Amino acid sequence: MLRMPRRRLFTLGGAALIGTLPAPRIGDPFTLGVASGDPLPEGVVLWTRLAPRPLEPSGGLPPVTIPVDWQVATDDGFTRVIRRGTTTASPGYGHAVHVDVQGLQPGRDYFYRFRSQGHLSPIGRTRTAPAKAASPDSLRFAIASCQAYTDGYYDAWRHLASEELDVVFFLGDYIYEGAINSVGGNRMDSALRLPDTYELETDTLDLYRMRYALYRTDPDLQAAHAAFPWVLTWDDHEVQDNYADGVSRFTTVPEQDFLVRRANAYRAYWENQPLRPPRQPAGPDMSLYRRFRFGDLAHAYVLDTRQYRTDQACGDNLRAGCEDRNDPDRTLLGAEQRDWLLGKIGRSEARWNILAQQIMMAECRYGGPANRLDMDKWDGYTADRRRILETATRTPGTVVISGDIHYNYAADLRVKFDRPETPAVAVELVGTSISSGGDGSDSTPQLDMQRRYNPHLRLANGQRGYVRCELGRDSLRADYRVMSQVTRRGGEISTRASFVSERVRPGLVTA
Amino acid sequence: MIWAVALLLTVPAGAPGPLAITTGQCNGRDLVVRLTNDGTSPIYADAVLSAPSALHLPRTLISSWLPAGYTRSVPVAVTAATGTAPGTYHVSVTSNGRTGDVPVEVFAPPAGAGLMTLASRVTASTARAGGSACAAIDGDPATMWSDTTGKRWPDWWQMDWTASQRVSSVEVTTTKDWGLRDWDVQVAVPGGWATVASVRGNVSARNLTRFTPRRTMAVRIVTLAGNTVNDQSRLVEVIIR
Repeated sequence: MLRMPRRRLFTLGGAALIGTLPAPRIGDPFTLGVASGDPLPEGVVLWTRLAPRPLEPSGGLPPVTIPVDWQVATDDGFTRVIRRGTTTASPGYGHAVHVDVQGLQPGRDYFYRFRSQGHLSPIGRTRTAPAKAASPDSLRFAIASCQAYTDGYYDAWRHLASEELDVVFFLGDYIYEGAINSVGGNRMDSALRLPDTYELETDTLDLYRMRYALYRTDPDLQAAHAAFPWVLTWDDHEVQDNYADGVSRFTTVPEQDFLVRRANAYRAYWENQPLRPPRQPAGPDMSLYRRFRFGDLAHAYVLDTRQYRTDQACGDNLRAGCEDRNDPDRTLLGAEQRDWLLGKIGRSEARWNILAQQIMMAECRYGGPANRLDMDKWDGYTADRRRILETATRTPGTVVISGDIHYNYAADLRVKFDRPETPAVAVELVGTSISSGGDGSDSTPQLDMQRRYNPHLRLANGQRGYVRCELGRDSLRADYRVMSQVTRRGGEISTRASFVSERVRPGLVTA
Repeated sequence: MIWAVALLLTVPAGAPGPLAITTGQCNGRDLVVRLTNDGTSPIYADAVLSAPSALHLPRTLISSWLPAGYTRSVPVAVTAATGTAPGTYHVSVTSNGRTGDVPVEVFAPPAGAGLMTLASRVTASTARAGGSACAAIDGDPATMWSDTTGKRWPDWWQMDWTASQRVSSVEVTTTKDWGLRDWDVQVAVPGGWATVASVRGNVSARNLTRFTPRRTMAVRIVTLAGNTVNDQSRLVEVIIR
C-alpha cells in the first residue's frame, strides 16, 4: 500500500491544472483546508468550504453561488484522475462543498483536490472501506475528541497525521461555544488578533459558522483532515455545554428558543463536516447515528447520545444516592436509536462491533465517603447501558470507544460492575482530549481515587492526545498516545500505555 | 422559497428615539434586532448590519433558522472609541430587502465623570462569554468579569485611559462565596507595572484598598487566589478613585 510522507502531500503543485487557470478574482478561498469522511466500499464524502477571509462573517464572500471543480486520482500527482466534476458552493450552506463520490474501488487510497476561482486547494488523501465481502486482516484507527481552541495548540493532530491509519473516529466537542479573546485564550497567540465577534457565545448560525472557520484555520487540524477519512459524531459543545435533547443547560431558556439555537448549531455542524447528503438539517433535528462496515472484520455504530436523551437525573453533575438514574424509562439513546443499535448488533456477523460514541460507559465512582457518579454519563442512564452490555454478552468482540471527559481510561465492561469476579463482556477505550483542559498531568488525586474505587479501570491518565488502535482477526491493540504539552507549540508525543484484548475473551491486558 | 421576514429594530426597553451612548469601550449600549418570520413555513434568515467607522459593532451579520411566526431577538452592543467626535450616527440593518435605521447619538464623557466612565479600554487575561471585562464596571451586581482558566493563577483585569489620571484607591466587589482572596493592585509606569497595594487573605465581598496617590495611564488588578474552590477570578464591580 502507498504510504506517502504527509509533508510531501502539501508541496505537490498539481501541474496538470495550473497551466489553464484563469486569473484569480478573489483571494485563495481554500483557507479552511480539505477533508473526507464517512467511507463506504465504493465511495467517500469530500469536503471543503470557501472562505477567502476565514475570520470574517460569511468567510468574506458575497451571497452568491460559486462553482467548484473537484478531482479524485489514484496518485498524488493527479496523473491518473478517475473521477471529476463540478459542484456549487452556495451561501445558504455557508459556501461549504460536499461531494459524495461514488464508483471507487474498495479498500484503497485516493487523492483529491478542489479548484475554484483560479485557485487550487491543498491535496487530501482518503481511503475507501474494504468490500462488504472482504476479510481484512486489520483495521487501524484513532480515537480523538474535544479540541477546545482556547485550551492549547493542536500538535496532537500533527502527530496523528503521521500515523498509519485507515480512519479517524472523532467523538465530539469539535468546537466550544464560549468566548474566545483576541489571543485565542491560553494559546496566547498575539499574532492571532481575533475580532471581538469571537467573544460572543455562539448561538446563531453566523456565529457557529465563524467558530468552525476559526478552528479549521489551524494547520495541524487541516493536516489531520487531509491525511485520513474521518467519521464524526457530536457531543454537547457543538451546541451548548451539557444540553439534553430540547433542554438547555439553563432551565430558564424555553424549549422553543433552545431548539432554534440547536437548529443553527446542527446546520453549521453539517456544513462544516464531511457528512453525506441528504443528512443536512432543515430545522432542529438531524439524524447522525449510522453504521459503517469494514468487510467482515468490523462494524462501527456511530451514536448520538445528546439529541434524544432524557434530561440528566437528579439535577445533573456528580451525585450520590440518585435512584432516578436507574429508572427504566430514562434513555440516553432514545428508543428508536437504541432499538436500531441492539437490532444491528444482534444480527451482526462482523468479528468486531465498535460503538463509537461520546461519553464514558464504564461505571466511574468518584470515591471517598460520597462516592458520587456523574449524571451526564452512562452512569446516569443505567437502563440503556444494561441492555447494551447484555447484548454484548452474546456478541463477542464488542468495543466501546468514547471521548468527552478529557482523560484516558481503559476499562473492562461488565453487566454488573460491582461483581469484579465475573467475566468482562466488552472493553471500553476512552480517549483523552486533543487540547481541552490544557497540558494536564499523568495523574491527579481524583484519578488516583477513581482507580482505587473502580477495579475495572486498567488506566486513568490526565494528559492530552489520542488513542491509536488496531483490530486484528482475533485481538485488538490500543496505544494511548499522550502529549508532553499543548499550551505551547511543539509538544512531543509518546505512548503512555498499551493494551491488548482477545475477541472471544474480552479484558484489557498490558501489552 | 418564499422569504418573509419582518425586521424590527429597538433600542433598550423598547424606547423610541435614538440610542444615546458615551464614548469609551464599556460605555456602549445594546440595540436589539428582532427578526420575525411572518410567513407560514420555517426559513433561514440573514440580517446585515452596517455602521460608519466611528461606531463599533461586534458583529455585522445575524443568521438564524426561524420557525413560522417566531421572533429571534439579538442584542448588539454599539460602542464608540474614546475620542470619537460627538454627533449623530446611523446603524442600518437590512434583511430580505427591508432596511431599518437606528440613530446613535455619541457624547463625550461629561465634565467631572468618574474614572470608570473615562476608561478608554478595559481588558482581561481571559473572559467568559457573558462575563466580559466591562461587566466589572457596569454598576450591575448581577454581572461580573470571570476568567476562563479554571484553577490557574494568576489572571488579570485592566483599565486604561487616554490621558494620565490621579488614582489613590481601588474598591473591589467580589462574590460572597468563592470570591477573590489574594490580589495585587498595579499601576502602569514607564516600561512596565508597579505594585502599589497587595491584598492577602480577603474573605469579604467588598474590599477597599487605599494607597499613596499616583498618576498613571492604567491600573491592573492581578488576581492570585480565590476562596474555597479557588477556581476563578470573580470581579463583580471595581471602583477606582
